[in-house]
Amino acid sequence: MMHHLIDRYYHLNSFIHSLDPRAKLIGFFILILSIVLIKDLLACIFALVISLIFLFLSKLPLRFAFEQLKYGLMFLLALFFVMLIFGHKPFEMLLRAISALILIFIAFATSRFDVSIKALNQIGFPNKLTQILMFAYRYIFVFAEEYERLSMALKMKGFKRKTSKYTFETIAKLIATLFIRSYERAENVHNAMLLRGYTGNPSTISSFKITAKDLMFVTLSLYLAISLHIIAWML
Amino acid sequence: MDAIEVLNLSYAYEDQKALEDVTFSVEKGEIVTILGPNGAGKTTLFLNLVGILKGDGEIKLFGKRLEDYSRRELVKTIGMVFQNPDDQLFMPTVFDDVAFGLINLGFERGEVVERVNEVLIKFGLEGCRDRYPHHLSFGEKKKVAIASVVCIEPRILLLDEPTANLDPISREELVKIIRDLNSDGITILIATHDVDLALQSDRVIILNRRIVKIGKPKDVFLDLDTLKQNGLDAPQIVKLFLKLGFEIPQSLDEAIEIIAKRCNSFH
Repeated sequence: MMHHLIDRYYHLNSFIHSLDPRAKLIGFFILILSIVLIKDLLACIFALVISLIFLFLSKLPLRFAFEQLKYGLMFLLALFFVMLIFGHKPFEMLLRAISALILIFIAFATSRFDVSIKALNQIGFPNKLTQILMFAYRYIFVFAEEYERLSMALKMKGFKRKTSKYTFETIAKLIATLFIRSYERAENVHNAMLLRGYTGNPSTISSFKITAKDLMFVTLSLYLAISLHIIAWML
Repeated sequence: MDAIEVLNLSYAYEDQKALEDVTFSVEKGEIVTILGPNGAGKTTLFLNLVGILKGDGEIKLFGKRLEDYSRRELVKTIGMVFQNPDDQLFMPTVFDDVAFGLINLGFERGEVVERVNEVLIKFGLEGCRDRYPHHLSFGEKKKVAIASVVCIEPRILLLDEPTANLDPISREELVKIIRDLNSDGITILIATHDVDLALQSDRVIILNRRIVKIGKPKDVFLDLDTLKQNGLDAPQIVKLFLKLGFEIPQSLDEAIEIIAKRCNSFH
């Protein structure tokens, strides 16, 4: 079964796609860090404009971007309404969060996910965290396929989803079965790793190369990050 | 020299006995098939041989006790391929998966790349190098799972149900791979229900928690009562040749040879 998540368009030919994944992640992290620290509304609007320009430069289809971002945006909107009643500067919060979300999306959508994980590892992300990400990316599809198979089996036995206690109980049992299978799989995977000499250290190799273009991108990100704060300070 | 020696091995999961007093040996360079019904203890036996489970009794690999091997030495001596390739392929790409063992063993980057490329070509998987395991067919996953162990160049290879759920062409490819690996000098132990695969091995062991029978495939498959008592059956070709009163062949080529000889004798 062919599954793709965020990296469906990793093969496109854009300036952002052509960057070294480490430079890309560092550049976007600098920008995100800067964006989450600004408090001025106009600077926040400027941050959103920068994010949208990067989205445009990445040549990622807007429909795909919206599909991938919609749940995050829905969550942020819900948070925005709560902040409207109880919070402080809800518009600024919303704009900052959307900008950061778009940048994170671009960073991961323009490289293969496994390449992004390796890049994360190389720029100093904790080894355990990157390994968890790697396993999550590998097994989320196996998990999805097992869920589809079990759902299909339920349908074949005449099961129909309704708003009833029976439906909830059946779905709960299906999820419990998946958890038990995952637990057993985890044990087998751990054994398979030990049998190939796993000691807990990073076990991947990658061939990244930083070029002048990558350095220029990181410099540009740094420049934009500082500019946002200068704008906020001047206003 | 014996590659594997197992002496009085017993293992129990809590109070459920899985292996009882198992004793056998495998010579260096042999292909031996372990046949047994579901729950016969085949996988448990394999997990004991690789040191993941520790039962009562003694296991020696090339004359050295299993306990005396360091983990690193053991990885280079014996490798195991699991029944479900999804349990074996845990890295994000085929390349990363095949390289995993070599990186853990401390091979230099250049050597890792070279050996992985060599193994992928040997298994006809060069086009899959950068593919995600979840984009592979079941047969390709099985081949990658074997490649990921073979690239470490273990002296003994344990294959748990290697032909299960494979289509006939993938099965044939896999049988050829097993034969090629054996001709490279690797001792191979196979746990399977596939009696046709067992027919092509050097020896067959029937395991049903205890060792029931050990012998040449022809001898084991002629003992139909023992096979039946242990939930097994003889290959169709054996049954056919028994009915015809012909000598039992060990492969299709041998079967053709026997039939040709018989035809000639009629003339």
